[in-house]
Amino acid sequence: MEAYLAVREALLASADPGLASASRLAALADEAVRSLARAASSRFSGRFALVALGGWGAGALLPSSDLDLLVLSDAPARELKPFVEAVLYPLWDAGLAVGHQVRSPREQRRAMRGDLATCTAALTARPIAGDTAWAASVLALAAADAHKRSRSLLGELAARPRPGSPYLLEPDLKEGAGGRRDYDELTWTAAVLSGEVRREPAALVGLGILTPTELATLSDAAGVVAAARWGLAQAGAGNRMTLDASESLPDGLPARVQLALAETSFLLASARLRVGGAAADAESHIPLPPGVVLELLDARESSQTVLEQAAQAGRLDVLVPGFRELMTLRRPGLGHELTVGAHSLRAAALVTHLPLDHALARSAETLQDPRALQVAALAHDVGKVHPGPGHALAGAAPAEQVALRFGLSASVAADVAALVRGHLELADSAMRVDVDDEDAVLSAAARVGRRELLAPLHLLTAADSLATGPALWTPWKAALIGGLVARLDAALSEDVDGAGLATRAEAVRAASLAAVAARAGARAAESAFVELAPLRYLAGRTPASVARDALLVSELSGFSAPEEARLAVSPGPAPKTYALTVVTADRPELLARIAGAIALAGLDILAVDAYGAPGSLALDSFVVASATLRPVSTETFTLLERLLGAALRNRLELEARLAERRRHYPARAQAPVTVHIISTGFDTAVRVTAPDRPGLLHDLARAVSATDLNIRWAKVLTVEGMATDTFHVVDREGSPIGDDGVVGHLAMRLREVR
Amino acid sequence: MKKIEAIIKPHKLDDVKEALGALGVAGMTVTDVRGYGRQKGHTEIYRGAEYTVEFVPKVKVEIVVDDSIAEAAETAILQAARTEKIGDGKIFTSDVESAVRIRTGERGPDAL
Repeated sequence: MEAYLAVREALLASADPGLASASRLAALADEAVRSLARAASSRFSGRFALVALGGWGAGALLPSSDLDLLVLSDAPARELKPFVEAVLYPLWDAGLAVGHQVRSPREQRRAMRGDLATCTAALTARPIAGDTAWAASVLALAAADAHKRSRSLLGELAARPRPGSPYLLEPDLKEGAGGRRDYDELTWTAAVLSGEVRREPAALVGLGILTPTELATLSDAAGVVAAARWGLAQAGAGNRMTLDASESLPDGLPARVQLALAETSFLLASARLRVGGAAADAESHIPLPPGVVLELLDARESSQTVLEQAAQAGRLDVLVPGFRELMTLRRPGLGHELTVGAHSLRAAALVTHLPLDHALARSAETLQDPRALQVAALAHDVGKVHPGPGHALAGAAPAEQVALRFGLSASVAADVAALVRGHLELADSAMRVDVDDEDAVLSAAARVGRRELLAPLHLLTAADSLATGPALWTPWKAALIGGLVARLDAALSEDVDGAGLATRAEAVRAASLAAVAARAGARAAESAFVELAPLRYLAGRTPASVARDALLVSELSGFSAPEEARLAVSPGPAPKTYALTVVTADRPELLARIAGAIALAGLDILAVDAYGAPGSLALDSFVVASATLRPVSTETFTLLERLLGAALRNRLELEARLAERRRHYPARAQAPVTVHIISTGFDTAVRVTAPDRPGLLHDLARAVSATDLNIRWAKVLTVEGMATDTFHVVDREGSPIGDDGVVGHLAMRLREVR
Repeated sequence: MKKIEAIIKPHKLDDVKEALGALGVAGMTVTDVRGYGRQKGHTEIYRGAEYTVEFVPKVKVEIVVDDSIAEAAETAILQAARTEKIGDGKIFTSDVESAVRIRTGERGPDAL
């Protein structure tokens, strides 16, 4: 045994992994057992044979394989025992894993009839010592028995467990689908159908079950799988090619293994159908029509194997070029279970049958075109054919072509491209976007583009995650993405047009930065203001006006005195109107005070945009006109500046003086005050419609502030004597009003302003 | 040694990680968690349907640091995770009696 073990060690250390080495290892084991049998022959004079079973019998012994030995003899057990012990003990003592059975020919044939594993082990058996001719005749009779029971045996073989899928990124190379057992099944099938012991499936060619080309493919695949199993065994890993264990294999071998598994599994499935005589469709390489693909996707998991088989045969390639390649393409990532193609098929089958939480249910209800969504799911990873990042973008154009081949219209195909391009957007944004930050949500909305794309994108995101691996779609992730989707939906609604707003705003930002940079002597604070300016502010401005505001803000940057203010006046949008911009430190009641000062200066407020600016500043822009018959003059603005300073220093009796002014200038229109309050998700929008009159904005803004709320931004418009003032308010925590009582109280206070 | 557990908004994880990395905090444990505090969940409206999110998704960051940098680590998390809005989360700091690096058997701060 020492000599055998030394040669074995040397072979394991130097051999090229693969079937050739497995054959040499089997031959070495044969010789070792023969030597033991020769040495033990003095202990038994009867007829016997030693038979190698299973993989050893087939001449493919791997470093981790057991030696499955059958001792065949007619002699009584007590006579045979010393001989058997003399053969087996040295093997056990050498630390080899040995499985053994001692049987008579009759017992062997009976055992083969009663147990599938015993039967299949003997169908590849090989006599190696003793009366090998006699053993061969016994095995031949057993194989003939198997042939007589071929229908039931082949049925049992077809029903044997094949765990997993050949498209798993961490496949079991022995028992799993596509692994060694699939190859063995073809060998067993050859033995059963021919009624002879077989050690490879070559006889299936003569039986019309495999073509010579298919046999060559199968043999190559078996060699690749054997090489990988050999490598895994040498690395101390099991038969499962885990991602960690695959790193111990030579470069490129895991990819070849994936292809080998797929080919073996495919050929086994084809062979089973041909054996059953129902091969016509399975053998077909005719491309699947779009309608059939969509029907199979509708059938969900029950059709997954059928679709995988068709894809592996290249029958999807006319619709999705390169899909066959995707079926065995490995792009392992955290939590990924399947190859790219199998993952895509699973996502496409799942996408219209998702387990629905509240948010997904709403997305499913609002989905307009399930077909487009299925096609997008099918093609969402086609860009992965190119290694490296950016597969979503790379896949968009090919996906559009796929959609056209499925018969979808050009506009729907463009949507499919958009879905593929954006299929990572929600998952990425959910981890990076503060859903309470309106600007962040508006920017994300711009990346989504259109409201109609949101529901399919939401469903695609969930299907993609679930198809990647169950660990990737948790209630946590579902809640996170669901929350983002709700905010994006609001941002993309018609009345907000968040995508358009964000796009316009970013264009204004870029042009404004250029304008600031072009001004000689521009301060860093000006650029900082533009860079940090809210999207809503930018969207309503021109680059020139933003640059002017930036200059104004920069003059105040660094000042700590809250009463400091800067006032800028320019011609307004209409004749006899003026644009006023006020920058000062933000504080409670600020808008009310500024509006009061403007009213006392004899000016009507026609429009207001009020925002918070970076550095705790407020930037309020007004359009004003004379409230009286007196024309506006320089003195008017000098007076305003004085009143504003006094108001900010709290040295102006605003209420009394405005009341006095109201007596002289009553409201020009008579209509009830209406109040409409809704939550936007980021704040609470309060819209008040009221007849305009001196000090109205001051009174309304004061009523808001008196309810302990802060005005985030405001928009005011006065047309034909009616003012529509919208205040976006938040509570002290910066959140929308969450208390219905506060909402009611605010509405009451606003209605009291007459 | 101190154990610092911070419940933060998910989008702030990278900022917190970077801030702690700048302090030399080499390791951390991050867990997806859901819960509520004063925020008490909230209501979302999606396509006209209102639904309540009782447990808000957050991320829990756990680190164990030497006493000498515990306060700095706490401050770093505070600054990195703050948005000044409700739901920014909480930081809990507690004493740790012992720590062992399993591979080497090192104990105490050496194991961190």
